[in-house]
Amino acid sequence: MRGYVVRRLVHGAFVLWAAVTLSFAVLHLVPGDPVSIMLGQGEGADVSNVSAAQVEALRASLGLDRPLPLQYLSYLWNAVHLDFGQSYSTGEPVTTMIARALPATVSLALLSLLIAVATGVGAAIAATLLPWAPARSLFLSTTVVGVSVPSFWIAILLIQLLSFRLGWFPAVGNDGLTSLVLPAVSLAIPTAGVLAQVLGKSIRTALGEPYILTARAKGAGRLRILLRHAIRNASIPTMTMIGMMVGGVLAGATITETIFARQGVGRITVDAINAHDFPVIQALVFFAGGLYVLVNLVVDLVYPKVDPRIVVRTAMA
Amino acid sequence: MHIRSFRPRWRVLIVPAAVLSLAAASCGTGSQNTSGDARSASATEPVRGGTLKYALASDPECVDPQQKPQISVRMIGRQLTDSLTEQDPETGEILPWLATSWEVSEDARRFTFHLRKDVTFSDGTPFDAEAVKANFERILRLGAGAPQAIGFIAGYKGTTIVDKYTAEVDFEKPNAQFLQASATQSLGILSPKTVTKDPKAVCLGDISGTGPFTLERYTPQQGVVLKRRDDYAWASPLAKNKGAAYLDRVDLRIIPENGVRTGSLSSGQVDAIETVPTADVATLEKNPGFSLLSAPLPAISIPYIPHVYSPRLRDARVRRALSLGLNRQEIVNAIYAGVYPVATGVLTKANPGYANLGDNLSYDPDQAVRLLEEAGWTKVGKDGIRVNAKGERLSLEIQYVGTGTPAEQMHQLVQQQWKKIGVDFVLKPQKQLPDLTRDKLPYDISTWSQTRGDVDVLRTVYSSFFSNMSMLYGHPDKALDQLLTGLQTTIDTQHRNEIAAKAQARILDQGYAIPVYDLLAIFGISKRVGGFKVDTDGKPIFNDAWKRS
Repeated sequence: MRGYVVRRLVHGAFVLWAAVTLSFAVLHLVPGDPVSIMLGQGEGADVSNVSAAQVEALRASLGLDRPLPLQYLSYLWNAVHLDFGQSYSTGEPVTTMIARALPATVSLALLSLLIAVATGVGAAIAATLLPWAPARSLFLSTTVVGVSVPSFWIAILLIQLLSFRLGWFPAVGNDGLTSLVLPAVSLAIPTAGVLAQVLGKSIRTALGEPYILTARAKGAGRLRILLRHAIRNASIPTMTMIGMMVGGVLAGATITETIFARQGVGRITVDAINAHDFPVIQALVFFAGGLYVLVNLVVDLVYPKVDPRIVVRTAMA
Repeated sequence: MHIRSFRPRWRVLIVPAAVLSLAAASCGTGSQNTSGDARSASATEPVRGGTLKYALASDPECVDPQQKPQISVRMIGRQLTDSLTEQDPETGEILPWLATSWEVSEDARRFTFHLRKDVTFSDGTPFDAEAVKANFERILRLGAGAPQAIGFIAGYKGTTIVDKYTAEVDFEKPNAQFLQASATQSLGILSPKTVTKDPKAVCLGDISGTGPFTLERYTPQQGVVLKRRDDYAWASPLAKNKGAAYLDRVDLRIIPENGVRTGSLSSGQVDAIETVPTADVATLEKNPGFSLLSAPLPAISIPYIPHVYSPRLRDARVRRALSLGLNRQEIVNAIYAGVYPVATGVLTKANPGYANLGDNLSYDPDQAVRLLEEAGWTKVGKDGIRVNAKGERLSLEIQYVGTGTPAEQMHQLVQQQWKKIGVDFVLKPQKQLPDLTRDKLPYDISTWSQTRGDVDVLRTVYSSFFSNMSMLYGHPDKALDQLLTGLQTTIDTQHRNEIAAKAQARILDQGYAIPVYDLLAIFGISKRVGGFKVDTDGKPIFNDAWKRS
């Protein structure tokens, strides 16, 4: 078991290295220069009148005049030490920026995952358990709507109805739980839709298995069959999905946080990409990659607990 | 030299803003509104106290107006500190502020400012000639870290402290634009204690100025809270209230999404918003609970710039024909809901050097066709596009950033308009424009936007002097350059305007610019608010503002 975890952690480190290296390469391949952006140069932006020597001085102070391989190595070295330097645009230490934004995004992500899992699982069960066929297919089709409607559209409808018209929730900001409800719901709905689809499908597959027939022959009721027998077997793909959803929620946060004008990691990401703020982007890639690796490791470790048929090999296979 | 973003920066999405605001505004009964292009909104009797909630369209990322050229930063800087002079938005005249009077030497190289004696910074330091000197020296140290300000004081030689309240600023070369620059927030005066601090710390809020408000806090991505300074007594000449502001606080919240910003206003969650989308203007106008304030900006009219080095655009007749083939009214109506005025010259009416050249900017496709034929584009191919004797098609490419933006919609409409005179306008949206000097751009036409309350904006944009911002860089028009250099050598307004008028006529005659429309800064304001005003480049002045509870 310990060997497995160690092996996975080594894999994880490799994934992380690949992610930061790739992002470094992409950032330097994409046209656009952070110094020009800082000086407001380029078409349609604020332009200013600065001498070439002054520009070079600024470039040197940011370490951007060094050869690319050197920049890459010093970045890797710093990443290992969790030192990501300072943001080009604000001058603030990157870790401070992210630490400040993190609580808002974490609470948004947790609440939205909670809502997504609750409604997704609820809808999947309703779509199989309801005694009347048209009601079941109604639930099934609402989940399709959930999947297909983009979260920004849901966000707009929610703001429109519940904030602007009814005034129940504030439209923007980070002030307390009320300001968290709308963004969490709009972020949760597409996730819940996908979850309900996958879980519903696996439940239906599981219900067709011979062991269900056996259980039914032994006199088990509909609910017992579903909860005791079908769900356990059907939940493996769903768990894999929840692992991936963490990434989805982080990505969704960029949109949701912008619409709801919330402080958070998603907003930082958008601003950093706009400004070619390398230190910030690289730190974000590092942390998002790390989180992803970790969550998927946890999910893999939970599998055998849910389904004893899955055996984690301890020996080198 | 402030430039408005012509195209929005990349946004996560484009929300149909009008749809959003409709419901919130549906309580309107269609009575009279008070929109117009006055620079102040309705008022009865001022009330003291309260917090004004104002929605910003973008995160300033810094609160030091010397360091960052962006309008959002200067807007906050305007509240935190004052400038040596102020500019009258109506006449463009430079008015006394922290400097009660000034003299400029004949050769426009020495500027002597006589300062107010009763001013203090919010950290208690008195304002004097030493403070002025310390600010200019800081800008020199910042260099490219203060891009706007360093350009304004290019050729700075030194400041002499004549006496405690007289500062003499010297330049190596004539620098006539410096007087107007002294009215900008890029040269706003900060406390001598602030200027010695780490610029990054100042950016993030460790700042002290002479302004009517002090910074209570800046929370990145959330907003800025300003607190009234009770002993303030030297307000801008534009403010009626010379003493402390009426409001206790101004709560500036960042709401980047257009539709959400408008909706937050119409549902009463904020009291005023900036950058009202043109599509929402009509809805807000109909609603009696709000007023609109549209401030014309002292800028260049938003132009198409034909690159004179493009092989098909070397002939001035072709460039002129493109202008004649442009139906500006149709563009403004279709893309900007009829809100922005069509261009009537190279500069907007709000620029002090504006010359009315509207007659040169009429829509005349027949004359356009005649000019194109004279220039050798005589045959029309099967696809409706003109061809010259060598068989080349009259195809012109524009590269730009951002799809689905009003700017792109404008390009699409212009594509149809120019098709009618046989010109193929090719649209190439890009992720990012090439980082090249102005004479090397690998396409034929670009757009530009630049705001400044001085005719010197002509020199910046239409000379051949600056590699990244002058449209004729590398391909000088000697006569035009000479006129524009002349602007720097005299501070006599009438003389400068005469020179500027000649330059503007030449720019249009040679087809260096194809002005399209004039930008406005549009604000939406709740009727609870009175005394809301903006300065010459559309930054609010909160000193007169008050809010009914």
